[in-house]
Amino acid sequence: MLGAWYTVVPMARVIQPERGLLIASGVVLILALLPTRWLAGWTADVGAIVALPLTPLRHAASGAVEWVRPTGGSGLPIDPSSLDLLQQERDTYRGRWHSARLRIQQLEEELRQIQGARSLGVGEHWTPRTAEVVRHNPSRRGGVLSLNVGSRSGVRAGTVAVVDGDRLVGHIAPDVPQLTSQLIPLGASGHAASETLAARILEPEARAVDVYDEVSGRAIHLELIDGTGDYRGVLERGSGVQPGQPVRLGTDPAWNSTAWGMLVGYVDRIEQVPEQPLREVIFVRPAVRTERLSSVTLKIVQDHDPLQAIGGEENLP
Amino acid sequence: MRLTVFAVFMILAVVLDTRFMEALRIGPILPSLAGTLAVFVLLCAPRQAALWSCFAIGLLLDFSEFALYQGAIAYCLVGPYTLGFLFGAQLVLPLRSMVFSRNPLTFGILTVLFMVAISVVYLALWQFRGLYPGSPPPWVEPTVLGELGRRVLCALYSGLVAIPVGWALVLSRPIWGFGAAATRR
Repeated sequence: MLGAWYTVVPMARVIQPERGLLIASGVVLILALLPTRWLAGWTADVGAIVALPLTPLRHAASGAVEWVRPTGGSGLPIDPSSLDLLQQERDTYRGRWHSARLRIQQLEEELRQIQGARSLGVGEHWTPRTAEVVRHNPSRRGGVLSLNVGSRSGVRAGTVAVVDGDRLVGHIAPDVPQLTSQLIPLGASGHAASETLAARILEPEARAVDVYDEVSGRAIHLELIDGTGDYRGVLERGSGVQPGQPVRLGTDPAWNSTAWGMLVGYVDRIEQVPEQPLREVIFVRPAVRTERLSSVTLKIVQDHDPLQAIGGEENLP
Repeated sequence: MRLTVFAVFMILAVVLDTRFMEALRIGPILPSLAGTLAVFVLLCAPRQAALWSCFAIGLLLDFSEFALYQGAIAYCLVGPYTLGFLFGAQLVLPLRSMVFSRNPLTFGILTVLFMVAISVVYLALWQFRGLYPGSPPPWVEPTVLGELGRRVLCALYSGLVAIPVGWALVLSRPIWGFGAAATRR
């Protein structure tokens, strides 16, 4: 009797036709009540496999429908020219749709840039204005960029350009035309305001330098390294500066006040100088490479509030 | 019943239902041949074979109908037709001893009954599934009662079509290999 529990029962007795149908129906009922996310995907694959042998017959049946009852007015038109027109229309709208999506992305990016610039300029009387870069200087790195806004939009000589809210790109060259302007990027060769910078090295966590607070960050005088666009500066040995620390523009009189506190770059490396054993050289890599910039945010200072433009046009080189 | 013959007829019925019936469309009303085939099998085949046949036809129809989850992911819902065909079979099976299976009108009447039964199960399941997020019922009618009305009209139309189709199926009985009991009915 003890061995009876494992007695082998023929499969035919376990799965009788009646019981088999009941089990199958139960499985189907469970499947029918499962949440859709558990069915999505794999059931369509099974359906596609099931449909595979039926596809030729279905094509034949569809052809027979067209033959028995041409869908002249109710379904797809059978006139090939109408079909071509419909496909053209579809392609046109598809193109418009993609174009609109790209435009939305562009506007979202502009909004993000402006909001970023705004958040770092609370209290200052300047207006953000997005400008497209219409021409790069192809001859060399750090060349002048042409923008599609000019004095008619309030752009003045010395107007500061940033990206991503606080990354300093450069400033506008003198003699601004009405509809265009020239942007001199930070680190441009021969640009006096970029040759040397009064900057500050901040701790990595610091977000923006307070230009009126002398203890915020470590002051450093940066000099442009010709041909690379990088900067170098000298600090006393053991300054504690580490690669990766952000470097922001200090109260440099060569730049408009709206540029003060903007990010210049990051500390790239620190080298010891054998000739000056008590000092170390800090190399700074610019935060923005202008070669592939498509747009910038201009910080346009209002004309009626000249006090805000401390560095103003008179400080331009 | 010869399985091969049934498989061929089932595939034909499902293919015609899903493609060719467009030719017989009257507005939103479409007939169905799968229901007529199921009724024919129910009238002629042994009980178990008839039920499994209905199960198979329903399953094939379920896998022929695709719905969209969250408007993007395709899926097949297994159940509405499978269970509907089984439910319809349970309605028709008790009646088969009371009808003349050689009479084409029998097919017409029983097909209407059978299709209405399928519609009830189909609509009930889909209506329940409408509670799940992202899986609305696949019909275009604004209400489930509107869809039920459309499906009742489809059932009537199917019954009309079932009369000549049933007659053709009766003529094909010799190749199906039904038993002697069925032949006598």
